Amino acid sequence: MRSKNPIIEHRDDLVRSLRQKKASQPRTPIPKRLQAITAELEKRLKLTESSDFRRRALTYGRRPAAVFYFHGIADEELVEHGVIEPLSRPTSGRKLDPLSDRRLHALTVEALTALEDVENALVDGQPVLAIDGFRRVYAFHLDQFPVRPIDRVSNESVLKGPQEGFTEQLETNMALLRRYLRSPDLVIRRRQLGRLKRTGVAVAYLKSVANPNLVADIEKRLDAVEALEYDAVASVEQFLEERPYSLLPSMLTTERPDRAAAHLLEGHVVIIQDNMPYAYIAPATYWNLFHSSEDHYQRLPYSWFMRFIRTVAFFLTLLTPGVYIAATNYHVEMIPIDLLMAISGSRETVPFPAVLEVFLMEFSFELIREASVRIPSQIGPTIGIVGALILGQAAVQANIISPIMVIVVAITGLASFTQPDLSFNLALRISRFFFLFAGATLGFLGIALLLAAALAYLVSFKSFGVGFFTPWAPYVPSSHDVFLRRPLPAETTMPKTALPQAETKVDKSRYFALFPRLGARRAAKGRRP
Amino acid sequence: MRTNTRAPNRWRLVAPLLVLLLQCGCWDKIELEDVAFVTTMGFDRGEIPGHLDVTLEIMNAQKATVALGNATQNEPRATNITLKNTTPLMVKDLANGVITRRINISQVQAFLISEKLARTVDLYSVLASTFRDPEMRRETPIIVTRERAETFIANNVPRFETLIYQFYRYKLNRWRDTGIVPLSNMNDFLRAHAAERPYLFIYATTEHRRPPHQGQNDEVIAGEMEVEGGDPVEMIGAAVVDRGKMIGTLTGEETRLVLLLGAKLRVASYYMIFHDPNDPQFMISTRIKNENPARIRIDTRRDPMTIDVEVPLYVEVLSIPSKIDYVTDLKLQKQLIASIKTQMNEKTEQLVRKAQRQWRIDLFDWERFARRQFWTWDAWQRYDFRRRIPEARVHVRYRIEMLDFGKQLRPDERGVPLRGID
Amino acid sequence: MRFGLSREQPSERGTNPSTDDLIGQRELMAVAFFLLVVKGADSTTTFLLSFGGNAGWLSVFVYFAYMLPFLWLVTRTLAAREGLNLIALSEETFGVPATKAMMSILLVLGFAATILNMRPYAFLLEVMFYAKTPATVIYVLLIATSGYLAYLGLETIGRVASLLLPYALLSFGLLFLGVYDILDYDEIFPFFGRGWPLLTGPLAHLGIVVDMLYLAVFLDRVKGGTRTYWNGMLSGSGIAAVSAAVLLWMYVTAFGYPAASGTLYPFQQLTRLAHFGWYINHVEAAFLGIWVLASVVHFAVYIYTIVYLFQYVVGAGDFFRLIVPTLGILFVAGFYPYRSFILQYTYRAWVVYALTATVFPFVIALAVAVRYRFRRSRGHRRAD
Repeated sequence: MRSKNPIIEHRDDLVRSLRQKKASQPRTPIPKRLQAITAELEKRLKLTESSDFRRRALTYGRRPAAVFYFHGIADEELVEHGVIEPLSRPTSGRKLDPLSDRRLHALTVEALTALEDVENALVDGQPVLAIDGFRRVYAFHLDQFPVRPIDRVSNESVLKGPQEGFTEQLETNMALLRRYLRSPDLVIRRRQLGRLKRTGVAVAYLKSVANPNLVADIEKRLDAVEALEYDAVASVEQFLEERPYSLLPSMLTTERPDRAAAHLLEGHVVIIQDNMPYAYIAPATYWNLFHSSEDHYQRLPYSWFMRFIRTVAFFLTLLTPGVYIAATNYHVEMIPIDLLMAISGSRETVPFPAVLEVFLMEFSFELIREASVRIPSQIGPTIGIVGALILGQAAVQANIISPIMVIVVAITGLASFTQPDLSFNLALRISRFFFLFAGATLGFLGIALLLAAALAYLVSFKSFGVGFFTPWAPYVPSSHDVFLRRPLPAETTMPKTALPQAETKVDKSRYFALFPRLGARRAAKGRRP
Repeated sequence: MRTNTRAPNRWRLVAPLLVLLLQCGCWDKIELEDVAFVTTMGFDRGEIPGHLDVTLEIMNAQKATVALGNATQNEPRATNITLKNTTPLMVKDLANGVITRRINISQVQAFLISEKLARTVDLYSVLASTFRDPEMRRETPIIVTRERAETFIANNVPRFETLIYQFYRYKLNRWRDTGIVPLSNMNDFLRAHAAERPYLFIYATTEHRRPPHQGQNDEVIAGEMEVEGGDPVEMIGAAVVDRGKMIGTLTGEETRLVLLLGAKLRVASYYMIFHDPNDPQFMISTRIKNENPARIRIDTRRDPMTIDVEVPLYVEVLSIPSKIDYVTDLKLQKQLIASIKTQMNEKTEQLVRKAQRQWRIDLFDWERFARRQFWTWDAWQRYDFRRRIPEARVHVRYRIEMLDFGKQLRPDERGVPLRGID
Repeated sequence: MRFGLSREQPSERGTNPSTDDLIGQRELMAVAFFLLVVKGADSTTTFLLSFGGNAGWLSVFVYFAYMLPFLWLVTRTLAAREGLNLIALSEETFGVPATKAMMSILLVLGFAATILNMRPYAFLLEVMFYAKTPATVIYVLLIATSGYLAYLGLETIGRVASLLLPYALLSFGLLFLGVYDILDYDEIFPFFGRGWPLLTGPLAHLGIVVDMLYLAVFLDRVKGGTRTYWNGMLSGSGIAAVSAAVLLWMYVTAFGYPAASGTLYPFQQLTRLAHFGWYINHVEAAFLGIWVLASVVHFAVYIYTIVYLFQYVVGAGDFFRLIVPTLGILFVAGFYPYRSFILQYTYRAWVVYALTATVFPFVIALAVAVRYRFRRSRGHRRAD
């Protein structure tokens, strides 16, 4: 079994082979006659079989010409009024060329020289103009795919802060990023992956902040994916991460452009993908996964409180079932005697051992959760009633489980919902079963040993070469935005998590001049070699 | 030396799994309903010398849950098992001859030791055999019962508390403030025993007898209170144990004095009554608070050593049935203060005499204060405080820090002394 | 092969702290803390209480005072040739064969100390919590988990330690809060306990805290060299000394003096006494958790040190190939039957004497030799 992603491991070789391949790739030249072009396109794209293919014949000057496009993905009105209608008007020019044709000046026109490019342009929704006698085909950027408008975020909703989320269209998402980060430094580089299903992938970073090595590494990984020519790249995240089997995510997934922009500012790299209303942020540390974007929109004490709750919830999710089992099965004396009597009394009529009981309940909770995601939204509310009633009340009354178990499972479930990141949430939910197992086999000793091993794994886990607990362990300069955060004006240090090129977030000389003593100490530090 | 190179990949994944797999043990696993929790353990002298009769009181956990229907209505709330002529820990297994579940003594609320056992057998040897067991807890209270512990457990059926553990908890929690019983537990006993100090145990009984004198209030030991009704248990006073054996009892008031003079009664408040100096047939009720512990100065350089104890008291006079105006008349107040001091001194002197002459022990734990004057353990051992304490000169001085008269300004609502009307 | 940002590809400014396999002052401090503080909560307390009697808590400070000059000596010696660790410096001074011989002795003693230190943990857990679980299984689990940490490297151990340090201190605070009302503060008198043994006992048993000097073996893994080593060790062992002293002080005041020295596993017994208010009592299992975590870190450092020395002595190229044999030896040697606590105590005392008799002379000799060479080379330079 390979624990590492082979693409990443061999990325250097793959990139080399990609370059060779690109250099030696055969390209079909475009035939001279219009009929030949049409026939070739129809043969290649099986256009006669597609009913949404449109071919509009027209004349270009005196030559016969044709406009090809797919119905629905090209803006038909603009094709009508911007291409066909102007071309039908007589022109005075003697030598005609669509690139310099006055009638088409309002459009972006691109000349294509290979049939492969023509195909791609067509499926990208661009109408193409083929003219008899030209060895080139002209594509107009008039694509208009049907897309969902920008909508409210569904998974990372906040009470205070921007509400809009990414959509499925890459261009819209790029535009959103540009809107949240209006800086000439923002570089968004787009490419396409997948042989059959061409998926647009864009890499965004701040030129003056992001570490060039990090950007180069991510580009290299994408090159490696490209070199292997997968038929489809459904989720670019899974092609880029190093450890496919690890429970921990290597990248932060967000549907919030503001969050992506905030990470860009700290030197992270954002990867967005077509047909996926998410942005992937690399590298991701525990803190990125643990924080919610609301933490910075809410005022300081409130955000401290929220983070405190979330930290407690983290441990509750992970440990509650395990600790319950450990306490009731191994460390009986640990439970306060009133509670102990109550649990012990109610357990007498229950037919299962406590471990099985917990496991059953946790499992059925996961059932409810999975079902409530898949269930049609019309009958969604019923699932709550079914879950609460059947699994809670009824199971207790039927003496299948003890009442305290409902509380244990409810607390665990509730706590798990507080984790803002989807991947991390799942990782926590899965690993709580390991802790349940450890607690059931050796009590608190098992839990503590597993905790030690898990902690060791966590701190040695690296996402894009960055330790999972940076900037806390290893301790590197940062704005101390970890468990708690500082007041926004005091967040002056650029965290070195993603090893950014930029040093500060603020004009430091002026900022420290506000605090005479601090300024003096800084000056003294600067003087020391 | 930097050879910390890449490890073989497979190990990275296998190692944590290995840890997980090795945990498939479950040796110590118990199911909660499979455990019988012992609330109280009682020790009596067995018929064969060196053996004990051990009584276990086991709670019925189902009585703790309310809404279980009527399946448990007819079950008793606890069951008692007495095993004759055995050792304390053997019973954990032996009791299963007559009971279905695994005996667990981690929730024992109190150890009961009968007076007869305490007077004849070294208590340390009785208790030491239990506290090696990991389920044993050092903070468990120990109570000396006047009758056989077995009888005590059988008789102790409190009126309000369905589950017996609540009884001990509430009871001890209350005594913490008043100090008429010492809060004795295993850890303190072991601590005192190792240092060869005497130790006071809670004294209790369920057998009432006619009190020898009437109107004694708290100057009684358990079983001699003038009381009707309530729970069957009387818990007042202390059993004094020295060198592992019980040597006598203290009344409730004496117990409190011992704790007071040993600076062990921390922030406490309790009621005390004194004879009215101007009309001795009436009693003045007061509430005493001692916010500051007693100050104890011991001079070990003198021979015999001198022990000066200064006890600050905050007295709140609550009722003056004689209706003498102690409230506004400063002269009378002075008399009252002097009288309170005298009465306290009398009681104290009696007690100190009893400790020094009759028992010849350091009843008040003054040893702890004498130790401060020594730098090393050897010097302390050489001094042999235990031998010198009976000859020590003890001066106890009460200091009434404050005299207060509760919520009422005058002893009589009408504002005129009763005597003036006559 | 490294991914993403790595040491081989330095960024624009400095190297990547996540992949450089070095530990900084924080990590070193935490490692030193866990290396030493656990000694206040295991069978070592028997030694400490036997030196000082009821002033056993003072003997912790005595140890600290004794160790400071040696720590300073090691730091100064290593500072003379910054960038070398103890082994490299010794090789340069005494030559390779002598160093190898010395390190073999240290390795054997380290092995013995680790085994003698680790086995009681398994027994403790068996006696106090897991009456029916075989101690072997607990021992294996302890070895496996610590071994896993050691296998992930010093960097990981350091980070785990630095993450756990605040929690460990917090749990000490909680423990004190839990028992403060049952402590009898007068038990610490007579103040100097058993008197002179308070000073002479630690001197003879200096080997108990020799771990501090063992850490100098990894000096080249420490960011900032000797300066960080000195600061980290000083702060780490300082906090550890205060914590261990507080622990011992709590044992004496909670159990009383003659009773405390007869109490086996006092930390566990103390956690049993802890209670918060009337209803939250019996919380020892929660303290067991943090204690196990601390012990795992403690032994991870031990195992890492042993493997490191092993690698040097054998001359093995790969660090990780040796970890499995090392764990195997620990496991098998741990089977040596000495069920009796007293016997184990005696063996431990021997190892401690041996450590005292080898490590400290070695350190002094090294310091003298380095100083002499340093002077001579400076003198030569002057002559030129």
